[in-house]
Amino acid sequence: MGCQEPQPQLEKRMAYQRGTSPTSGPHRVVVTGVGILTSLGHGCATNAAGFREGRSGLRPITLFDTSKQRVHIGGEIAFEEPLPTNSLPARAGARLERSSRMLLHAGLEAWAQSGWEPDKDDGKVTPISLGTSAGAMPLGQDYFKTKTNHPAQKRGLATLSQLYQPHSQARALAQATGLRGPFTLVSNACASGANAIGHAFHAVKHGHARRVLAGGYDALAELVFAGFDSLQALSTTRPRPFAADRDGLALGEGAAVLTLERLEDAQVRGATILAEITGYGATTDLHHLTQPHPEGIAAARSMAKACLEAGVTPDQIDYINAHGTGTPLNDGSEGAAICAWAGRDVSSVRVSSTKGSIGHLLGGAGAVETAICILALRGGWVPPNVTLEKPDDICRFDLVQSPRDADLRHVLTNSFGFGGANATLVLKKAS
Amino acid sequence: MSTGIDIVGWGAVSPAGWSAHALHEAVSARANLPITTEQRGPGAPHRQFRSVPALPAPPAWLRQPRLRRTSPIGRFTVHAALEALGDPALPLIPEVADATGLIFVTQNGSVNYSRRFYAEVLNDPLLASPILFPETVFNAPGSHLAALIGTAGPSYTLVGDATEFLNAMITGAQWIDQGLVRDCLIVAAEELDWLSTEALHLFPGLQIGTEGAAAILIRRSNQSSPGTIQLESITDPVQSSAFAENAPAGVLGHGFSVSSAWQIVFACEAMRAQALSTASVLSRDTHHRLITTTLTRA
Repeated sequence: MGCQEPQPQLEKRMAYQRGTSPTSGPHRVVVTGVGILTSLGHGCATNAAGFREGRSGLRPITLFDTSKQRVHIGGEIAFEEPLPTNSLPARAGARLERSSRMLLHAGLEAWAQSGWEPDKDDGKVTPISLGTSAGAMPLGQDYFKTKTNHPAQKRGLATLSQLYQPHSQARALAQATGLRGPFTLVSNACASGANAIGHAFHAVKHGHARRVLAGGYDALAELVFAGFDSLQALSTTRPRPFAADRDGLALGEGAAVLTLERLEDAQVRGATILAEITGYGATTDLHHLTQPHPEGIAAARSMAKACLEAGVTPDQIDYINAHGTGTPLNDGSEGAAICAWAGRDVSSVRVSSTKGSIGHLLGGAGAVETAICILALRGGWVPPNVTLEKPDDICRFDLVQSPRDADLRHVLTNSFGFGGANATLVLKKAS
Repeated sequence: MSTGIDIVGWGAVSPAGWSAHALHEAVSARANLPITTEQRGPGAPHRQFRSVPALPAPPAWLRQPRLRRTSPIGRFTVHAALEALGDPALPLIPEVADATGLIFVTQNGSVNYSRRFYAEVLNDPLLASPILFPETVFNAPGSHLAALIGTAGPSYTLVGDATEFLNAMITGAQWIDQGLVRDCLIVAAEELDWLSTEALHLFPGLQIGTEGAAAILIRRSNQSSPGTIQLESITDPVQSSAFAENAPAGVLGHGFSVSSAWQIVFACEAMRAQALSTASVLSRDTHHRLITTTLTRA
């Protein structure tokens, strides 16, 4: 604290200044680029085809030894393609760990689609808002094992500990795209990705930024996998969200990144507008650290807040991409929330969870499921839930279990996380 | 349009003690707080740290069921937050649950439980404790705090470096400006563990680790009464080789994400105690860029 120290002469560009607000707003916020990477494959086209048909990307896990665990499958990604050409220095590119590579795959796809240019030297910078739950956890695991097995070793550990920090992954994305930040890293467990996009949406809407690169990512990690297994939260059969006999979730990995900007800016650029983000709700479920309230009270409030901001009523929502993990507690709670939120319109609300196809992507889930919603809006289809022998009695909504074409105008996606972090986004078809 | 943001409450936990006052006294006096030196085993670095002293008596909030399993980071978080809220009665926000936002900031998170849990996983994953794992999630301390004080509005956990607390202040100010919340509680917390303290030895000048928390409660200015601390500005980070003394860090050690939070709380406490009209807080991030936060007194 420099109360008594002479103050250095600095360039005073203010991130916050008392008494001033953004000079414009609210703005309509549109998506002009989408990048997605899941166990169904790389890119929008492959994922759109996979989700539209309800393919499964679950497979035996090879990243770490699961032989001593109860469960051995997950949505593991096969890296078959090199990163697209980008401006990341070669040395930094060679050091990228798994989650960063996922993030860059998705980020560079969105970047290319958007037609954005790198930040210039005019002082205008583009924020990056990302959600992650585990970050570069495998690097943390390596650090722990090295420190435990070789206490005196120093070589390589400084780099390891730097790359472990989530800001390093954001920085890699910034370098690859020529953006300069600032970075916001939201770690709200399984709602992180949706929160990061919601945060970016509000920043653009209210004039705090003209454009934001936003998304979420998480890679499979032994610690996290064992953690969910220790909680008996993993399915020992196959994940089947909203089934009466569901027995847990599958973990997956992946990333999605969106380019968000003002509608008027996108129009001036002549950019292709992929969708509009119209509402964001965030609430906290105080019931329990790992268990949602059985009646989904906070979840319903999250949905209601997002719809209020979007100016839509439940009967106008054409599809809900549910959080739908496949655990007994989540799906019952979310089902109750959807019923309470929709009221008498519930039977006409189309709902599905895509986690039966790719697993639960934790901090990446909200972003990937937002990307799926955009692909569905544009393609005119609803991604099917896995087929169920008997849906849970709570499913008074239209649980979509087989591929279905539909003209979607407004869609909603839910993300609910450990610690009671709830987030809902509402998206609208580009007009 | 915003008329501004006031800092209406603050609290701290540090090696100096369990209050903002203790932090202010120790830093103002440049107290020589005790340093512990330990070696985990042969070959491991002799790590140096300043830890938070034990509480003289268990506080009432420790009886809350959700806090019984928490590691130190959760307890530091709660204590600093309650001091900032200024009222030990619980729950604090029952009737206006959506009116208060919560932003929790950390760099290392619940590193104690993460290390212990992963050691159990490597030993035998089938025996790894389901009690430990949920507490390893970054947002666990913020979740416990939200449940304790009864705030069900927006809650973020932000992960970042020593200056992330300043980013959280900007976010909180935006939430208030956008009408999402009436006020916002912002807390940063860290706990000591050999895993993170030994990492400090890998970087020049970062030898002494420390732990604790700092919290502020911000609210939209509404004809601020005399003496109220007002948030005047926060600059973007700029490259600068200028000297910037971080007095709390000099006395306490490297507090990771709590570093800039302690600076802000120290400034608030100093402004109140010494009737200062203005304070400039200079914080340096991981990339050696300088951020200036200016506070004024109404």
